[in-house]
Amino acid sequence: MALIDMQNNGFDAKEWDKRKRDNKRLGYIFGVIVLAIFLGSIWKYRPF
Amino acid sequence: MAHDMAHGAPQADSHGGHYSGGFVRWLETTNHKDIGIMYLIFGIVMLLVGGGMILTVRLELFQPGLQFVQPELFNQLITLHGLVMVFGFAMPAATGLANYMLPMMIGAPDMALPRLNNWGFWILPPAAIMLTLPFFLGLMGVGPGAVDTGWTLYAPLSIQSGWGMDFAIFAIHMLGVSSILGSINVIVTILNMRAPGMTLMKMPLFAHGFLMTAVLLITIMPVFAGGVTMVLMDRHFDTHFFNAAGGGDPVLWQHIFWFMGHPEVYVLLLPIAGALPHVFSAFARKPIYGYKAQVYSFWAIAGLGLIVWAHHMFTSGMSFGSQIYFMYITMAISFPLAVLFFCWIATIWKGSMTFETPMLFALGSLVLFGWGGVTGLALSDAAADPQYHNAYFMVAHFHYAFYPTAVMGAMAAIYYWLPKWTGHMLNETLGKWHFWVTIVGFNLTFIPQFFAGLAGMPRRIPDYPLMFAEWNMLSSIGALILGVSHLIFVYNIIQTVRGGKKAEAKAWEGAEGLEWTVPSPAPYHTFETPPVIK
Repeated sequence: MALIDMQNNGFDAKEWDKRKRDNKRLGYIFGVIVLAIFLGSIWKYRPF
Repeated sequence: MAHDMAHGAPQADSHGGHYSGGFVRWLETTNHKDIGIMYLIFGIVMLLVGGGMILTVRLELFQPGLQFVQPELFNQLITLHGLVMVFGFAMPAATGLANYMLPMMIGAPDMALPRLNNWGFWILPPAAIMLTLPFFLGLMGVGPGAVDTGWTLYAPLSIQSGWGMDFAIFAIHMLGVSSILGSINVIVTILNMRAPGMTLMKMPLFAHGFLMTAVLLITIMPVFAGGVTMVLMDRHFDTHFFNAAGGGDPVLWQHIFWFMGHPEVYVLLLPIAGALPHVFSAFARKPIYGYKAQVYSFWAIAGLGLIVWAHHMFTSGMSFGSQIYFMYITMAISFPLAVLFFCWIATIWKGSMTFETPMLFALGSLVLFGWGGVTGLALSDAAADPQYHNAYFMVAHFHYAFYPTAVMGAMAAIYYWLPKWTGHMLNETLGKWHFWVTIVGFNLTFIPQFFAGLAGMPRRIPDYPLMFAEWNMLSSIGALILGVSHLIFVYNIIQTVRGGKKAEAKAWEGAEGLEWTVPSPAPYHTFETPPVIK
């Protein structure tokens, strides 16, 4: 059983659904931050 | 920390055909324990690979002259040793600990992003192969061999090096992606998956240590990835970021590298700084002293760790004002570190201490890392640094910083939680042998290097003047003993996995925390119904 199923375990389906959505949203937010730092570090020293 | 088990009785093991068998199980798994085990096994394998490489180096340095390896191969060995130990062993081993323990300790069913977790691990083996393949091909006479610049990859050497450098660049990209995915997962898990009632300031220190580590990693790894991308462009696309002949600046690389390289020290330290208080508390049978002070110290160490990088570059010709700034801000890190030390000592102070293997390793880690810290203060002095810079004194210093934390601290944590993972108590006699052989081997390896360095022996040389012969001979004997200690460790782990005295749910008398409320070994899915923290 993967987490995706475990998060709907009857404990509080609504609560886990919300957490699942928030997990993905937070993951994307941090992914964008990482990408911005990477591109910024190259852009700072661009040769043009 | 009390919790209401009525709300969160742990479920029995539910393997029941939920995953494929054999290798496919490990390939497809999204379970945090499976992935944690894979990270830990990967880390231990890389520890042995990196250790084997440096034993060859120490064999060469046993006496003056060239006996076993030529200088070109020597350079590859020391470079790969550094890269393999930092990126192949220390970081994956810490991620393994986080994967296995974090959900259990904060009452979560799993990591927040389990598929990302699987992907994060499976990037590692190809990256390790890519990093080391040119080395083994070189041994067979194919190609120029592995990257040979030293783990700092300094330009312009890294611009001129053979194609082993390109392999290293792509390996670093993959290792970086893996650690960033792991870090995002750790942060999201901590922020969003804690059990009801577990506020941030009720979280175990272990989680706080990993939270800071993950924040550091997502700050520094993209910059490092940008840096090695620029090296790649300098090598193949005629840019001149780091090539002075084309108007570039080799010192720029040093800044970019150390912006990653120095916080990396804290990336390796903070997870262990989070784990050690649990071990001290358990074996002193006292609550953790100064919880809040330790949390704030983690933040201070991470924050200061990001703005001290150029103390590695005092000899690069920086301005006097910059030297003063980097000297004092580096010394300032000793304050939060001292707070941690005092809190740990206060935790065991007048406690009912017993000295089982995890406690021995935790105490060893505390004392030896203290030596690393004090010798670091000597190096942080901009006026004195030119005497130590690129000498063996520095090599000894950073091994006193890395080994007691990333290796001995990790071993303290592994031994501490091993009964929870395997369901068996470890062999204490073997554990104590492991500890004392480690202590003798480690100190015999690195104390002589302080003296050789103070007498002027530079690092990264395969041959040396006769005056350094005795120190090097002692150091090589120590390295051999230290190598043997790791074999004892691996043997003890295998024996504990295979059998031994049955471990109870609370394997250690003084242990506290959610992970000790579930059976040993922990069920495949730990908290399907979250516990409620009061």
